[in-house]
Amino acid sequence: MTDREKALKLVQTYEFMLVELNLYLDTHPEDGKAFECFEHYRKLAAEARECYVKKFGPLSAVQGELVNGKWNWVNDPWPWEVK
Amino acid sequence: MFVYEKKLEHPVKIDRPNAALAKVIVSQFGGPDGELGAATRYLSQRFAAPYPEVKAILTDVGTEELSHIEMVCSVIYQLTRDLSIDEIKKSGFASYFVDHTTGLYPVDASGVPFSAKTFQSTGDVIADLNEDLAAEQKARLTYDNILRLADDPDVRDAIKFLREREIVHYQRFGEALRIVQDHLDSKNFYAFNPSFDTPARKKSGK
Repeated sequence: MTDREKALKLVQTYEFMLVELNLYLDTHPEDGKAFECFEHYRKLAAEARECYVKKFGPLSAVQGELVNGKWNWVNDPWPWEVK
Repeated sequence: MFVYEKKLEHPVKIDRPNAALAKVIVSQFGGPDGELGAATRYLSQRFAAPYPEVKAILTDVGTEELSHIEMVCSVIYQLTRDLSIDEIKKSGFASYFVDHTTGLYPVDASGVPFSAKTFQSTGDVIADLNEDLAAEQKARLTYDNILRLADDPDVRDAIKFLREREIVHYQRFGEALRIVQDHLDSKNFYAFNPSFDTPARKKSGK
């Protein structure tokens, strides 16, 4: 696994927890314990995301930057590609 | 609105091409119980959903299904990289290849293009949620069948993840159906939805 893949895996892991808890909270909107868990992973996900974006570029277009005069959102690899 | 995230929901990293496997997995892109149908089904049905929890679960599961389309397509893309013409001829992939090369096109395993006739959006929340429960089970069993056909651990990892999501979605839709039934009149022990004739907000005086 490359450093980029490792950093991305961390984002995927924490954000998956958010997806899962999001669905659970949709049908259990008054479950405070589940929300606490959601908040915990929301923090971890934000940190992992920030770390990834700083090193490897944007995860969403609004995080795009001009790097050496070029819009870095277009940069390879795209998610379906294996590098 | 929807915003693209430049990552998969779960990693897909397949080293060995396998066109024969791609030809059956494509059914989870464009087949009768595939992810394209799932996303389109839930994201269409949600407009007729009467309760906030149900609007939320249809929106959020529908959105997750969009990321499953992307995962299934990534599996197929990676399974059909660097194929030789000989491998294409031998694997049974030629009938797909002749029309689409290795581009992604939503068809089922026997090549029939995706059809919205594979799902319904009835405007009736009880009918819709019952369809959704069946849809998750049908997608789950399709993944079970793919797992019976696939040996490559890289492929199995992605398919197992997708299979598990069907089980969770089934559970959440079951809870959504229970929420809907709790809103029915206590004298109505048959699960049917009277909301078109007597809108819920009129009855509750909101």
